[in-house]
Amino acid sequence: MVIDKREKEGIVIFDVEGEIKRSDVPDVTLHDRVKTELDEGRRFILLNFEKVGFIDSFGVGEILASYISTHNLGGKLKLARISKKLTLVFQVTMLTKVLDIFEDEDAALRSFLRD
Amino acid sequence: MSRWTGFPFKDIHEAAPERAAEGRSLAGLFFLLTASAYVFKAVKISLFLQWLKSSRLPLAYLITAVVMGFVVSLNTRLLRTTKRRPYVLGSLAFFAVTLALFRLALPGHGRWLIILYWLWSDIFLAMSVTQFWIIVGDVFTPREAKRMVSPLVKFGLLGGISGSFLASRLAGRLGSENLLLLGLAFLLGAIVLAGTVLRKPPTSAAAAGSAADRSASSPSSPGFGYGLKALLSNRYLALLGGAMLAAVTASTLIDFQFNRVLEWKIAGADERTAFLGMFFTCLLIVSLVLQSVLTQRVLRTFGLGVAVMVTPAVLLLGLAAVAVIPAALALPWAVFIKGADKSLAHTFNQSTREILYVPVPPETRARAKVFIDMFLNKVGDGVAALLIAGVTAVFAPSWKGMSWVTGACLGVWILFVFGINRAYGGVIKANLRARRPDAGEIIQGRMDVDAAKLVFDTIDSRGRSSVLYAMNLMDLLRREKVGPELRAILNEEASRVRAGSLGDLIESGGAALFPGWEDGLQEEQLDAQVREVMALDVYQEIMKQRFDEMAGQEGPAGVVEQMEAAKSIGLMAPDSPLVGRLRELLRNESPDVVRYAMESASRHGRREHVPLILPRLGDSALADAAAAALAAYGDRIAGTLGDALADASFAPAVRQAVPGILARAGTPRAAAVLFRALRRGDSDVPDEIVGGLVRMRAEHPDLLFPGPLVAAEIRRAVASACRLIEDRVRCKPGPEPGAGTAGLERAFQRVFDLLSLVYPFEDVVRAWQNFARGDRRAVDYAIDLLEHMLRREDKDVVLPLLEQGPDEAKARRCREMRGRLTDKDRFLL
Repeated sequence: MVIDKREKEGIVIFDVEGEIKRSDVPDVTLHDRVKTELDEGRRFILLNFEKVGFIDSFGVGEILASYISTHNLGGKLKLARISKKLTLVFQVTMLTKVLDIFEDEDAALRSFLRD
Repeated sequence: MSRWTGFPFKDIHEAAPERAAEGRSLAGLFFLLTASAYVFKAVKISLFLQWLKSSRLPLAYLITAVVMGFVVSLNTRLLRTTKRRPYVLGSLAFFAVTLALFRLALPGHGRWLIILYWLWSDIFLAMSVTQFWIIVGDVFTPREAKRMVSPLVKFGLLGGISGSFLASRLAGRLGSENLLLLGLAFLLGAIVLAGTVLRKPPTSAAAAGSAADRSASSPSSPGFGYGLKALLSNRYLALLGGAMLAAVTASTLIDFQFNRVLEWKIAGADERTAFLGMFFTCLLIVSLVLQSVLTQRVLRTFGLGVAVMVTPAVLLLGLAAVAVIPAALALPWAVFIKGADKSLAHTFNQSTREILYVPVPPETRARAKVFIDMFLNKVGDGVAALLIAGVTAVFAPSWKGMSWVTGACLGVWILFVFGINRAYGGVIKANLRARRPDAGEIIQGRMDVDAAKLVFDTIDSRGRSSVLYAMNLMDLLRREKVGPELRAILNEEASRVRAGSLGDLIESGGAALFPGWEDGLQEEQLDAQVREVMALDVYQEIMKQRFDEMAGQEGPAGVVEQMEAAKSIGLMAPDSPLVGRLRELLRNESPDVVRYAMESASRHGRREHVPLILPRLGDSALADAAAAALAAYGDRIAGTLGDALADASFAPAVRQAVPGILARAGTPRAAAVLFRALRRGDSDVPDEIVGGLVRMRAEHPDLLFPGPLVAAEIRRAVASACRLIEDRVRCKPGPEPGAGTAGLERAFQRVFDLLSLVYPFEDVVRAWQNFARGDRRAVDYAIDLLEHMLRREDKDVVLPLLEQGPDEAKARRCREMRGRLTDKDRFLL
């Protein structure tokens, strides 16, 4: 898994690439990266999964942990370009009611601005 | 009591009160036919032994057997081509005329005319008796005919006694040949009575049978071949035919042994005629006593199976005695064995044989009966004749030696009787109308109701919430209930209903519900992933926060959120802390929320939720879901449900639903709870309790119910139905026509329901469906089936209630039946 960071209008965007799974845990996880940003005072984070081929429950756990960490500090964490299958998992688990999920990055960025 | 309902017609009146007049005429007809037949018979044997000797008896047996084949064929053709009345009257008139000719010719043309007379006598006996019973079948329904057999046989015996007695008294005075005039007088009387009986057309109930009888002999089929075909194509009839053949063969062998001893011990034709007359008189008196005292009692006490076995068993024992009998006692022995054969033939055999024919369909019965009674009967004579001739030629046995051959025939007869006993129940069942399955049953048989409900919930949820829709789909996947048919339904719905939130993910133009839906492996992966996600601590933490926020939400959006929450809890692991949230969701005001909460509660099976679900049984919008949820607990909560059943503080609807839930558990413990409630008798839901037990029995055929408890309940139900019948008779004429009919039908159904708990379920259901149809034939078959199936103690109580007849007769039977209840029964009631 490769995570690239960029910023747009004060919003931290993580472009995730590859697979997020328990059997391939990197030294620095997605949650670690989010926590680092939060520690640095960032509060608006967008996770872009356009180039993610597979996410297992470990990956979902990373996303949820990132969400809680952000949420507890009064920040906002949003998701963009998640796969259809993951959308379905989020539907079944009611997480679509909790997480902000967008079909593309621009829509997600606009929603940050609205907030 | 009028002269027509008292002795000797009491039995006939009781057997068919509405047709007692026809019954009396038939009794008179049978009396006259048998009176004449016994006069002819005594003369026949006596003259034969005088002129041709016993050594020629096999020849007579053989000639009779051969000629009888042609007579049967002719008789069948006449049955088919002529109407009943001219056929019967014509044949009787033929016998009367030919008899007069015999009387004129016999004195001068002895020897060979005796053989002709022997033949004539046998044909007369066979044809007149067969015709008589066919008339009985025309006049009465099978059930009535069955009840009528015993009283009619009694009149036949009385006729035989009268004819034989007169022959014994008058033989010495008039001479054997002149006795034929006495027989002719009886025969002329029979013709007059037959004309009276046949003047009336067959009753509506019997008409179908008669029409079928006639149509059975299709114009294109020869009579003999048709009868044989009927026998060969029907195993039961073949067994009856086999038994008849063996019985007649044995009987003819016994007849030969008897005549041989008679010829040896008594000289002179008129002396033999007088002896035979007295012998037949005594024989028939014994038969009458047997018929009056023993036959019905044996039938009622031990059933048909034992009654058909009596004759061959007694004869076998009698034959065995020959081993120790000295020559001086040859005549008493011969009298005993011949007497036993004939007296039992007139009583047990005659009654049981007619009963054995009853369950055979009318279209088959007529042709088979004619074939068996007339043709096989004589084939038996022929077989016996050949056996006698063969054994005599090879072994030249003494008067005792022939007993070995007779014993072998009796053994074969017994084997056939075993076969008949095994087949009888099946034949009755085959005549009952096939059960009509109801729509619910068909649906239940083809489709899991819970799965169907989930499908409809899924479709319904599509318009309310994409989350609910996805969760329901997931649920279907988990249950592995999504067969091709359900997929087709869901996809059809998907193409018809458009829900926006998931875009083209789920609504993929009806092609598939989930991405990769066609791939079973992906479905499993999806399910595994959902489970893993839900088991995450972080997920539980997020959802806890979400549920806290949701609790305060109001309005339609809040309801949907709560529905989703309730549903999602059902998908979580049982140890999830969020399962505790179901308590508040079960108390929710929205039926939709409660429905999902109950469904989830049923999956986790926590007892703490039961008290919150139980009251929902009284809510019409939630009753089904609550019942399904409680049923999912199984019999772990049987005690709690039993308490609810007994607790009058619960709404009636709640208590009425409980038996159905216990029935779905289908365990001995659940059954015990229902029986306890039924025995308690203080419940106002007895119909539901019995209904629950019946359902339990239907769905769990291996479940055993406590016999004594069911028997006591059957008695209670019968007593209750009896009271309704007696009340109806007392109140007659009622304020409203048909008042109380519904109550009585319910009472009858209760009896059948209870029977179904301890007897073959399908058979009792079929019996009930036929009984409920109400037409005479269907009711008769239903009662026949029960008569064959029930144990004596139940039969004695149930059948008097179900027997048809006027209300007054029913009420009387009910009173008698209640009088028969034992002290133990009364205690139980």
